[in-house]
Amino acid sequence: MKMSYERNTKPKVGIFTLSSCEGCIVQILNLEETLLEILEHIDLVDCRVLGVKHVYDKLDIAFVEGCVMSKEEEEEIKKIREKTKILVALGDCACSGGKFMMKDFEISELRVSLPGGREVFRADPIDKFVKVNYYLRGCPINREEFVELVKDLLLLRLFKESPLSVCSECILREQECLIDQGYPCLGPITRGGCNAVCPYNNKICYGCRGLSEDANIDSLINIFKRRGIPVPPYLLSLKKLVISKR
Amino acid sequence: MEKIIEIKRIPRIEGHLDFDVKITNNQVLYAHAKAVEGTRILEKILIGKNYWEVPEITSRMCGVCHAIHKLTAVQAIENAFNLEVPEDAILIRKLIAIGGHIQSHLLHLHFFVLPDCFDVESILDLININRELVLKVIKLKKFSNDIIERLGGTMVHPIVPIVGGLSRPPRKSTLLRIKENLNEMKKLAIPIVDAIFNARFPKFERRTNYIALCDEKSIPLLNGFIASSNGLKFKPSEYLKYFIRKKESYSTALHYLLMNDESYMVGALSRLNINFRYLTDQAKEFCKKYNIKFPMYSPFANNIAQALEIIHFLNETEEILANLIGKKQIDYYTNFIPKAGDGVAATEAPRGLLIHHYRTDRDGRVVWANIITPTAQNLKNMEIDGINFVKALLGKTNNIKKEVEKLVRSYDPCISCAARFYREE
Repeated sequence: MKMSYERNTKPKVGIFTLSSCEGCIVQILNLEETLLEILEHIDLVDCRVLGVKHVYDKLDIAFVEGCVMSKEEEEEIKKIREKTKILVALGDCACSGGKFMMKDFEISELRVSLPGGREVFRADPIDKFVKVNYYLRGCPINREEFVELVKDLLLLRLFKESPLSVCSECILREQECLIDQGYPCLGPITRGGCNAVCPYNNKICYGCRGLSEDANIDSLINIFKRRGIPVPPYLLSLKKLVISKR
Repeated sequence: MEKIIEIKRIPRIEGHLDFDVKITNNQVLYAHAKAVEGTRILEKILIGKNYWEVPEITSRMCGVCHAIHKLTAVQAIENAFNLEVPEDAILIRKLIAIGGHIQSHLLHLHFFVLPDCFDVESILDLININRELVLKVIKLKKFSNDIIERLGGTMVHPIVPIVGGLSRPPRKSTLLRIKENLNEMKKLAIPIVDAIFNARFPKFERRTNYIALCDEKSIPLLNGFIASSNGLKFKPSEYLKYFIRKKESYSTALHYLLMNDESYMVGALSRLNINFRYLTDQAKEFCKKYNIKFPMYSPFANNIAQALEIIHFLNETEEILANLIGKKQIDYYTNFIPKAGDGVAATEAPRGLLIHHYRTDRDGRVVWANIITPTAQNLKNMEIDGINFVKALLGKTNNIKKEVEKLVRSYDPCISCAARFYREE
C-alpha cells in the first residue's frame, strides 16, 4: 500500500470505540510517558474517551476498538472508513468480534430484547463491513506492539505481525510446557506477539490472538488425545470452519 | 414551552452514554441515563462454561475495572465450592485490587474530571497549562499499573488470580521493588491529591441512600457485609432480598433500586460516608487541612472521596507489603475439587459495590449467573440528581449541558460494565 502524509504536517489521528471494554484504549493510556512522546509526533483530533473532538474532514490514521453490535455501529465504522487513509483494528473485539470469549456458544439461536426493537444478538468484527489495513490482535493489545505499529506508520514502513506462535514464544522464555502437564493450552495454534504472557504465568493460552498462519489444528487434537487431555469441542468446530474457508 | 436537553455520547467517561432531560414550562419532567452500548450478554455466555473460564470472561466486562471483576468472579466461585484460600493469596489479591483502584481513580479524576475544572477540553490541553502535574499523575498511574502487572502478570485483565489462590506467587524481589518506589509515590501523591481538593466543583447537595461494604475495622474492598447509610446491614448472599432490578426501554443497562423503590448511590463517596472512621492518619490529615467532614451529600464529593482514597490505599499498600515481605514463604494456592454450589461475592470496584453470583453443577460448570455492576446501581440515582440539579440550574446558566455532563462524570460511570447484561423477556 502506498501512502504519504502531507509535507510538514503531523498525521491526523483518531481513536474510536465501538462496543467493547475499552481495555485496549486503557492499554494505550498505560503507555504513560511514551504516549506523551507519541503525541508530539501526531495530531490527535478525535478521541471521545479523552474528550478530544476537533473539526476535521480527513484522517490519516484511525484506531478502532470494539466490535459491531448494532446498525448504528455499522454506519459509524463505514463513516470512519470513508474519511480515513489507514484503518487499524485494535484488539480481539475489532479483529474477530471478541469471539474467543464465545467458544462453544451458539449465538445464532439467541433472541434477546434490545433497545430500539433490535432482537438478534450479534458481535461482528469490523472487517465484515470495511477494509482494515492493520490488525493489532490480543485481548488486550500488547503495548510494545502498539508502539512498533505507530513507529512504522510514522516512518511509512509496513508493519509486520509476529511470525511466531504463542508456543514458540513460550519456548523462548523457557517455561515448562502446560500441555505436558495435562492442560489444554492453545499456544501451538495461536498467533504470537504477546510474549506468551499467559503460559508464562502458569495459565493456558485461550487463543485471544486468533489462529496463527500455519496453525495445525489436527496435530494439536492428536497431541491432546495422546496425553489424555479431553479435546475441547470448540477445536472440532474450529477445524470445520477452517476447512470450509480453505 | 417544551424542551429536551439531549447530550449525546458524553465525552470523558468510560463507555457510551446519552443523557436526556425534559423540561416543560420551567418544570423538569424527567432525566434519562441512556446506555447505548451493545449488550454483550455475558451472563448468557457464561452458562455451561467451566469454572476456570468464568473469571477470564467476566474480566472482559471492563477495561478500567478489569482487576476487580476478575477477583470478584474468582471469589464467588470459591464461595460456591466452599473454599478457604490462603491468607497470603488474599493479601496479594488485595494489592492487585488496590492497584486497580488507584489507576482507575487517577484516570477518572485527572484525565476525565480535571479538564472541567480548568475549563479545557482534555488532558492534552492540561499538559500546556501544568505539565509538571500531568507528569506526576502519569508517574503515579504507572506505579499503580506496575503493581497490577508485577503481581498479576499483565496490566489489563491480570492473569494470576485464579480459583484456589494465585497461578504463581510473586518473587520477593518483586515485592521489594514495589516497596522501594512507594515512598517516592507517597510524596508524589500529595500535589496530585491537592489539585483535586483545590478544584472547584458545582455546589449541589441531595441526600440519598449510600451503600458500601463494611467490616467495622477498615475500608474493605474484597470482604465484609453490605451496609447502608440508613441502617440496613446484610450478608452479600442475601442481596436478592434487598435490590430490585428495573428494565428501562431506553437503555441497554439494567437499573437497580432498593426494595422500597428508593434509589441509592455506590462508590467512593458511599465507602467513605460509611467507613470514614477507618481512613489512615495521613488521609485524615488531609480532611483536617481542607476542612472536610463526612458524611457528605453532594454527588460531586465523590471526586473528593476518590482523591482521599488514593492516599488511604497507598498507606494500606505499605502495610500489606511489610506483612508479606516479613514472610519466609508465600502460601499461594489450595487444591480443591469442583462441586455443585451457589456462591455470591460482593466487593468494592473503584465505582462501588459489585456483586457476582454463580450456581455451578457438580463438574464445576456454570448453570446460572447474575452480575450487578456499580454503574447499573447508580443510574437511577444519577437520573434523580439530574432532575434536581437541572431544576436548580434553570435560569442561572446558559450552558446546562456542560453542567449536567459534570454531574454525570462525578459518578465515574462505567457503561461498558453496566451495559453488558442479558435481558431475558
